[in-house]
Amino acid sequence: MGKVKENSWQLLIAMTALSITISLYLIFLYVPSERIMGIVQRIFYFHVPSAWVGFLAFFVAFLCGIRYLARREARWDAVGNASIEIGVLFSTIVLVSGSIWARPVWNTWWTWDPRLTTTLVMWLYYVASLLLRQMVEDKERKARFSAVLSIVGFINVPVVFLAIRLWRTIHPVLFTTEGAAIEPSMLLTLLSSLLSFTLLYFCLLLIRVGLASLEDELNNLKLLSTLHRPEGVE
Amino acid sequence: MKNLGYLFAAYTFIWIAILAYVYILAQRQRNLEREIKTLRQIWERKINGSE
Repeated sequence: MGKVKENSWQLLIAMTALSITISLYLIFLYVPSERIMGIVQRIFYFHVPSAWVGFLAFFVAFLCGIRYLARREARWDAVGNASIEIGVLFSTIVLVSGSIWARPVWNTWWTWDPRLTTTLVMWLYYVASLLLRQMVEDKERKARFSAVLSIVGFINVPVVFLAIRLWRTIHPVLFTTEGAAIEPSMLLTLLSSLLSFTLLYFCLLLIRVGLASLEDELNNLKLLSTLHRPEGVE
Repeated sequence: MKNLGYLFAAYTFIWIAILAYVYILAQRQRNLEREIKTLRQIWERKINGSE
């Protein structure tokens, strides 16, 4: 890794750690509790940013899918796949944290509300696309297959976002055409968490893409070994 | 402090999920680096042996 790259990486890590610390301070020590829901409303400050990172990750995968089909460069496949993996992680967090919040507030762990249902469909789709990807042996076919899946899958993302605006729902609507429907201190805390999670997404993405390049290197070495059959290599 | 348990459960789950993912990535990276190093050493031995 070059000196500039290493410094940028360290700066990103430091900024992520600092912003997460600030967010945690704001969530647990600064922001007041919501009047009706009480302390459990604080789940929202990590729940909403997780949803945002999920959308962002699937959007990046969608762009990488288009880029891969246009250029056929392996790096776009690596970034797209890494992004889907991270998107699935944060979508899982959204579903679980939302369910934990719903239990005391809605008096149920789960309800077939449009937002919840579309989020679950989105999650299932991307989990399935990661599993299907593993089934394809040929590297180029795998990348092409993944690119198409990430483009098609992204159709559902705006549906998830708009579900609370298009259909009758019990899910809270935070941002309306008149702006954010929360107190300024709550908005500040939310924005801080959104920044933290966005930085965390880029950290994880860089780590995951780095891992993909190591996998490539190993596969190339194995291929060389197979072709030349040196001693000690099976 | 009603429902504190739910708040605790949610934040615990979130951190465990993120840290578990980072741990899995770190483990995979360590294994890949070890495998690459072993393969390179075998190749170097082979090249040196043939000279």
